[in-house]
Amino acid sequence: MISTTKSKFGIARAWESFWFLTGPPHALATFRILFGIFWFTRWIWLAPHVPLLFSGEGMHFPAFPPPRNGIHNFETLVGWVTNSPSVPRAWMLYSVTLVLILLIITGLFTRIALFLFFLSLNYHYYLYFHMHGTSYDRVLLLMTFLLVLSPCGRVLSLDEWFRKRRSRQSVETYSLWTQRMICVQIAIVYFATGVHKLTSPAWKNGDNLASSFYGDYATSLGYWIARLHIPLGYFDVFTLVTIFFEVAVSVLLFSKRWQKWCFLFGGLFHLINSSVLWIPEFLIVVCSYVLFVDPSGVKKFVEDHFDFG
Amino acid sequence: MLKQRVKKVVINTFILLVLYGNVNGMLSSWKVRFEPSSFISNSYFSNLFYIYGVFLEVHRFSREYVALGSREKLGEAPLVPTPEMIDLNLYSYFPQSHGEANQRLAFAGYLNQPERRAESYNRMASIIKRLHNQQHPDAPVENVFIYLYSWPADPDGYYRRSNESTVQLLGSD
Repeated sequence: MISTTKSKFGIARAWESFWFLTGPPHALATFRILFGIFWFTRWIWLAPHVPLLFSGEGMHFPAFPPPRNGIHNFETLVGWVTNSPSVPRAWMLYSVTLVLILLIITGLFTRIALFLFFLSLNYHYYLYFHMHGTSYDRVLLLMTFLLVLSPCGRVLSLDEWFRKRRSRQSVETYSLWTQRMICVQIAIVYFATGVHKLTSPAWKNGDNLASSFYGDYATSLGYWIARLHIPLGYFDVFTLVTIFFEVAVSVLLFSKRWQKWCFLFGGLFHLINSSVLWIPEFLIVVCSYVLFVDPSGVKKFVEDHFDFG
Repeated sequence: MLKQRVKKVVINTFILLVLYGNVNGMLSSWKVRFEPSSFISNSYFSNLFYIYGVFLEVHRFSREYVALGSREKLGEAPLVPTPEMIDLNLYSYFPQSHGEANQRLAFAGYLNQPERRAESYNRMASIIKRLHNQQHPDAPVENVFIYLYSWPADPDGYYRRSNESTVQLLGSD
């Protein structure tokens, strides 16, 4: 059962009831597992390239240069930390991160693992991922930080299993403001990228969408579609549909009535995106849909379908 | 009770901070506000929320970066590749998808540091020379040059350098 704390004023009450809902953390735990699996597949793929990507012996182009006059701000600190890591250090940090991801999936020492993973992610971001300069790396950093603060390790985890062995009593409900925060962040990503397309000259017609099918990120399927030479008018319409979808879904994801449709079309949208463009990282957004579902409903579904003893 | 109140104030402040970061990121991406993060001038913070600009330019030109090596030491880097140069398969050093590799090769992360970006191509050439000579001690190269080919984008194939392609020397070891 979801409950909210009462407040005197209208806006304050609305703020409270929106952000400070309480309930079972099963949706967060499910997302934690999906998030972990997502990172495991991404991380394991990097294994053959660790010295090349993450050491001073390889393509070492960190975000900030090493400090010349000591550490006195964020940039110099990062410059010092990412200054020419040796191959053993690169392997050590890579392996520790892999272990942390496994701890996150299994839910053992969850909060500590997530916090250390967040630090590791920042390190690897400023060491290497920043070169790429993409949105999804930043969204993933934000998600990780919010998960650190969340009760996502309280259920569906080894932490819970050990806790139950020690004592029978367990807390059933938690404050889920972090779950709300991730949902709002996802909604803003949809909304802001939709409005960006509306305001950007590059998206004034279907030209940008059409050219992305044979652009840098295009897959073989994307090229195949490009070779069909579909008239530009269709891409104008697809662009408008995409903008409409992105703006609409940012609001409708919060509506129980529309959620199923949002999940269906959102899943389809990201599946098509990932098929024609090399950006599978955005599939994490589909994984986050579970956070929009009523927490009690997710708990019931998990308990009905999975028996964790 | 006091602990709960303090906790709530901290959480509310955090929520407002994240929302501020998002508004700032949105307005910067939409070019409504050109100087982001005047309230919080932390580069980490503003970078974290700069996530809403996607495919900012229409793809008019395809790009291919190449690393070419010469067996003999050359005094000056040739502005265009010569037939004697050997292809060192630059993309094998950037084992991502082509788009991601091109972003890295364009040093998207150094967009605000043009000098560092230009210098990085020379350093990249040195790294490739070292790695290549380590892997091929029997066929070492004396110099490595990084070039960028670009040509009008074509739906019929990315890896197609048409007659219209231009070449640009980016760096050398």
